[in-house]
Amino acid sequence: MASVNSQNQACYVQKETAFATIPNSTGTATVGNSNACRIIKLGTDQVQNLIDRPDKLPTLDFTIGIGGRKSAQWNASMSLAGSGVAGTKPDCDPFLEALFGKAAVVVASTSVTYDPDDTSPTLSIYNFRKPSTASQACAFGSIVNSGKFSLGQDVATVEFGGESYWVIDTTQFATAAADAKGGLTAFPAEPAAPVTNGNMVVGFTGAVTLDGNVYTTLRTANINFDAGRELPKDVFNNYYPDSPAQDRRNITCDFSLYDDDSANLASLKNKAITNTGVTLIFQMGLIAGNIWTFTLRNVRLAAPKYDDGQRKFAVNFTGKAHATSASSKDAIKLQIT
Amino acid sequence: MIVRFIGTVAEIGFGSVADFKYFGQSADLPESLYREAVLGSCGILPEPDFNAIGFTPQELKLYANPGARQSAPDEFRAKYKRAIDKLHANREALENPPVQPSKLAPTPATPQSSAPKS
Repeated sequence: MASVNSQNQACYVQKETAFATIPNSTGTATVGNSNACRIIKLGTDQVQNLIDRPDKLPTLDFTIGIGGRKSAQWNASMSLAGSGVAGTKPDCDPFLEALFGKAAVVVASTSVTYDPDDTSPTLSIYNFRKPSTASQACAFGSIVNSGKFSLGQDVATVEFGGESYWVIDTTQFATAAADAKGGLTAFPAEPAAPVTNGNMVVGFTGAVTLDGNVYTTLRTANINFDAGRELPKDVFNNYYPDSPAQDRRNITCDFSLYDDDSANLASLKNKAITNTGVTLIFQMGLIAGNIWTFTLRNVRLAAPKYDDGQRKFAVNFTGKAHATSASSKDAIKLQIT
Repeated sequence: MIVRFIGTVAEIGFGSVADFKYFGQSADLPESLYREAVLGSCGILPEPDFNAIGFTPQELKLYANPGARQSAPDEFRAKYKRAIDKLHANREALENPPVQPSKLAPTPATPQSSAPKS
C-alpha cells in the first residue's frame, strides 16, 4: 500500500464544447500535455446528499435513507503566471476564459485580453495524483464562479472556485452511471510530459494607478470577481444539476496603502466619501509576457478606514466596480502583456 | 526535432523532458511533443526558424534572461519581436492546419450532356 503525497498532484484543464461532456474522441479522453496548469492547491469534491425519510416512527432514531441529488464543488489556487511570451495565453487560460465568460482576445506578440461577457463556459478539470494507482478524478461540467487575485505578498496568486456537474474518479468509474462518466468510456492516465510555462509574478512588483495617479505606497490589494453563476439543482427527474445559470457579476476590490498628506490621496479619500466613481489600475509584474494589468472602472469606494496596526498609519479602502453603461460590460478588464 | 526557447521559463514533464530556463536554449523533442508544447503556450521555435532570425552568439549571451531583455537595444528587440511573431504564426498553423487536397470534398463532375451539340 502506497501513501499519496499532497505535493504529488497535477491539474489539467480543458474547455468543454458541450456542458458536462468531458472532451473526448468517441469516448476516449483527449486530455493532453498542453492542458497542464501548475497549482498550489486543487480540490474536487463530490456532493451527494442523503435523504432521510421524514415520516414519524415509534422510536427516535433515523432509519437508513436514500441517496439524493448529486453535484460537486471545486477550487484551485495557483501562482499568477503568464506564459512568458507576450501575446501567448497563460496556462490558466481556460479558468480565466470561464471566469470572464468568453475567450481572450489575442493580439499577436503583444497582449492577451479578457473582458467579461454574459455566458458561462464550462470546464473539465482533471485532478491527477501519484501513485497512478491512487484515485484520479475529473470535475466536469465545471463553472468558474469566483476568482480572487491577490498582490502585495511575495507571490501574486489567483484562486478560482465553482460548482461542477459531477466528479468522476477511478474509484467509481467501473460502476458509475452513464451520466456520471461525462461521455468517457475509460478514465485516462495522466499525460506523460505536461507542458507548463512562465514564472510566477513577484507579488510586490508592478504599478498601481488610482484615479489617474500612480501610488508607491500600496501594501496589499485583492480583486474579487464573483460571477454569480450556479448549476441549478432543482430540475425534476434528474439527480444531476442543470446547465449553468448566471446572475449579475459583482466585481469588488480592497486595498491598503500607507497614509500620507498628499493632495492625490486626499482627493481619493474625498471621492470615496462623496461616492464619486474612480478608475483603478493594478499592474502586477514587470517582466514582458508576465505583466497582468487589471482595470476596474467606475469604482465606488466605501469610506476609508485607518489602521494603526503598524508603525505608520495605513488607510484601507474597499470598492465595487460598475459598468459604464447598460451594454458596455467594462467593469473589469484583464490584459496580460 | 531541435527547438530553441524564446520564453522566460517553461518545463515539459516538469523538467524531465525539457527544462527551459534561458533564451535560445535548445532541446530535442519528438515532433508530436513539439506540437503539443506550442499549443500549450510554450515559447519554442524549430531551430531553422530560430536561426533564420539571426541572433548573434553575443546577443544570446547578453540577453539570456528576461530581465536583461527588458533593456536590450532596439536591434535585438526587433529580432525578438520577429521570433515571437514566428511563434504566433507557427501556433496558428498548428491550430488551423491547412486542409489537404485529398480531404477536400470531391468536385462534382461536370454533367455530360447527352444531347448533341447544335
